[in-house]
Amino acid sequence: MQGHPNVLKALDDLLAAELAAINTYFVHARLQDNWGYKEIAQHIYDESIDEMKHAQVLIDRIIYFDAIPNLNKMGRVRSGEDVPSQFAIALELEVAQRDRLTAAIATCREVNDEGTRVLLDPMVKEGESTIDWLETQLGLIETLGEQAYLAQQLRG
Amino acid sequence: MIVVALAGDLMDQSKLRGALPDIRFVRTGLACAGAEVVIVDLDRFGPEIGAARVAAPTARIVAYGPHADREGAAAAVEAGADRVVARSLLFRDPAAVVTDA
Repeated sequence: MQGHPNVLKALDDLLAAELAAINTYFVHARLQDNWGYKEIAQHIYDESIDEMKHAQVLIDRIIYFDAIPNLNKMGRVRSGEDVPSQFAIALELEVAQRDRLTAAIATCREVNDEGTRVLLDPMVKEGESTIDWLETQLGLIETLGEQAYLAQQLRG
Repeated sequence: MIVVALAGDLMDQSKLRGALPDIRFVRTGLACAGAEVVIVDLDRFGPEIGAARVAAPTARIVAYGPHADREGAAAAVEAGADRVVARSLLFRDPAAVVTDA
């Protein structure tokens, strides 16, 4: 089945961002594990796997439209040098991806592509949940101080 | 050649270290004393350029940032950077950019 060019372009952009997020979360999780922040590391590792599942949905949809997903196109992978800066980077990623998803859903509605829209809708909700978690962690760091916050993350 | 970098992103640090094994990473402009070349990530350390210029008055300061950030580039030059390059240009060949500095 042929997809609308605007939807394919949106899927391509979303995939590039998901690929960057997978790698960003993965390197953050491994660094956090190495630093001893086991609980955060596990949470961020799970985020990386969630992003991989999103990428799979996007790849499958692009293939369904008889197109080839471009896995060579990837957004910039960034890594903060400490946990707060890593959370800030993750928050930027998530907010930007939510905006991309919202725009992609609008595109789907414009061209009556309900099949793609219903695939993207849950990603918005999951992204917002991650945004909420990250904002909470950054708020706790601000309230408790970085050292007190991180001291709570050493279990595992 | 003594190269010092104000670059907080660990991915940036990894790429710079790969191309310039003796590079030293610092967190403040004042810690750039003695450098012959200073590389500055405008995203994170733009405000440190002035201090880097004071600490290393004869160093060549190369700032890098997003291609489209003309305002940031102009501010960097005003603060004392000798050259501002796009992130993509720097990381294509960091050693060449430093040599050209």
